[in-house]
Amino acid sequence: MMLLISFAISQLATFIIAMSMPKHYRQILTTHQQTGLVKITLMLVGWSMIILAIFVLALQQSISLALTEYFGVVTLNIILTALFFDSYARKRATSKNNAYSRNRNTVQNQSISAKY
Amino acid sequence: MPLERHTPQPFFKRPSMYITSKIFAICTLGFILINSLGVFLSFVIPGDQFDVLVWITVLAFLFYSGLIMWVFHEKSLKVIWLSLTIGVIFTVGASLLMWWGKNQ
Amino acid sequence: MNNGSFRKSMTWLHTWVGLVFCWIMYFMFVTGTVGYFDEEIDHWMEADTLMQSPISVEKSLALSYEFLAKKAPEAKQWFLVPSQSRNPFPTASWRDQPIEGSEELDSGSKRLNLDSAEPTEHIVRDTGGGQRLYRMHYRFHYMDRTLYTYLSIFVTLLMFIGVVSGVVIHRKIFIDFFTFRQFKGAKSWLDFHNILSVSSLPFQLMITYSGLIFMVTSFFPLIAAGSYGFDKDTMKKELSKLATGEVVERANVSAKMIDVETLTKKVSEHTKNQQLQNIRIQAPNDQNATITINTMSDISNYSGQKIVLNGVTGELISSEQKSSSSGLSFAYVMLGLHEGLFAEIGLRWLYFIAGVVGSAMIATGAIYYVEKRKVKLQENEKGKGFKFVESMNIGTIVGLIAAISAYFIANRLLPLDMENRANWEVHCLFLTWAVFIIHPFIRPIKKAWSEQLIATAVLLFCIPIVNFFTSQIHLIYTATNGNWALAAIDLSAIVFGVILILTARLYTKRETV
Repeated sequence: MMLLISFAISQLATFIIAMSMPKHYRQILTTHQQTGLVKITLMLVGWSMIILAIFVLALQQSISLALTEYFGVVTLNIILTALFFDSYARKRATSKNNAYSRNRNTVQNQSISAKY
Repeated sequence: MPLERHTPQPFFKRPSMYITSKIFAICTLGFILINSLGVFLSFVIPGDQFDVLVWITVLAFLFYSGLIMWVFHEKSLKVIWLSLTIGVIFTVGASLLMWWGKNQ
Repeated sequence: MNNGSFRKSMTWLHTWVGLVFCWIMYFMFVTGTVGYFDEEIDHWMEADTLMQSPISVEKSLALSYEFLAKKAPEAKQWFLVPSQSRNPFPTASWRDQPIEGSEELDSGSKRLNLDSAEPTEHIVRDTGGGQRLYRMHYRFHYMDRTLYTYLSIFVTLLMFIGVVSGVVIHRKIFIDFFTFRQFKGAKSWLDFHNILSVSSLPFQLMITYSGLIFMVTSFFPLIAAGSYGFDKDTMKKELSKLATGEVVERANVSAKMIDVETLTKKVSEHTKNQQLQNIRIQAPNDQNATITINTMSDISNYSGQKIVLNGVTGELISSEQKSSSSGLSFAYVMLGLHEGLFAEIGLRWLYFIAGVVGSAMIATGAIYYVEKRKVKLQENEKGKGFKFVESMNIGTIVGLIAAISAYFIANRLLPLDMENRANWEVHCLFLTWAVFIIHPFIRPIKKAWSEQLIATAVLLFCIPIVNFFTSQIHLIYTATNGNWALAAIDLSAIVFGVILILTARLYTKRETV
């Protein structure tokens, strides 16, 4: 149970840390500019949550065992975060392209009907 | 138009020989150096000899990996062979002197 | 080779070390990863009963004690492993029991049944089980001990160098920490290789370096010898600290040992909150009898306490930590972390996942090498070497999974009375692998990938199907009885099969676009 709770906290933490990087921030929030304050806040929150995730694991076992488990947990978290960011960005790009081509078709149809 | 003449490269300057020489250096002098360095350090580092020896042996692969990486980074074969030879001579010589001094 | 830059020379080293040894590294990683479930696979392959709950230490010891008293009363040593959750059958081993009318000595090891009042041997079908599969990751197969020892040291050392040089050559390790660009050809393979490596870096460093520590005395024995001036007596005395304890010889004066009840009391008294690992009894039923109780720490089965008792009186002789120095403590923790014997089910799965990630890291590195050059080279520029690498990648990356599936299927299909049955299970593994290695050389590469992926998926799906028709412990029975340790093997085969089918579909789609 503790493993699952720690996994969930750590997953959120790696996501927040990734968001503190301008490159990934832009992938999610394209319209917002990341400020220095936002970056620092996200980093602080992310790292604090990682400590919390380790602490949760250490509640019912020794710290050495908790750290060993955490290295396994964070391996999965990083891969899932990386997959999420790319998939999200690609999905949005695809829907944007579809919207663009839909708009283009509408404009073309309007101009054709105007001609005739 | 005259045919272009290719002068064959000297045997030891061929790329394959260059790599072979490095691998050979690692397997022979490099291996001896890690062993002699281990013995030398076990004499030099203060503390319980058994404990020091265990640490050196456990870390020996780290030294060896570092040495392999250096050999593949260093361009000059001369530098590689010379450094390894000097290293072996120094560590073996110093270890023998210390051993002799300890048993006097 | 390099233009002076350390990163460039390390790129060269990383590429070549990876290219030449990737297939053997992949074999070591995959078989080692499967080995994290060796006991569960043992049980699945023995195919007799559901996984049973462990029995008490007292009953465990009583069964082993009684069994050994009859089987090997005058042995040089007894070795008792109590019932544990992953292997509930208590193990009783003996060494050097004199055989009547012969000068030879008898040694052996038996697992004992849990439910009978009398200690009886747990007899199962002749199978290599998970143990043989796990041992392949450092012993390989069809090899002599010296050869496999040095080969595994050599490959592990290169793997360690590969991991370290990989960190050096990663240009933007922090900036690109979460970067993964899918469907971008060679770039995607590089990103995939990077994300797998970076995410599991602590595991990769630990597993490779601890693997080297296992073999350090075989590779660098001269350091210890030289340090003690090549003096055999001093070396023997000092290095005995590494061994499990002093050797006790028989006095050949028979004596009654303490009974099981007293031994159990002593065990619980001395181990307290620590986990009992095993008990070694030297010179049993003799005046010199000594009992060594070994405990294990929560993170390493090598660390822990060693409690020595007088076997006749039960008096405490000594109680000390197994590691007598800081260096040994470090080494023991590393060795314990490598084997992961302490891991409960959650952590065990994490170990398995980290191993799969490591295997995928090697596979993606090998595929990236080919994909990167594919873009640059025209069809007629691809030499024999390139095609060899391309074919070997398919035959190894996919073929090895097929071969392991064949090992499981052979366990169910080979006749039970077959001679050398356990060996034939392994032969089936290597024969299947050989077929999968030859296949890409005689088929077009594009087709070879999808054909092998589908064939391997079919083999994986065959595991639960064949299990259903040939054993009592099939998926429906194990799942309905809540025996998830055994059900997980069939379920994993299905999951991996589905992943391979999806990969084949993705590959075919990409190739037709």
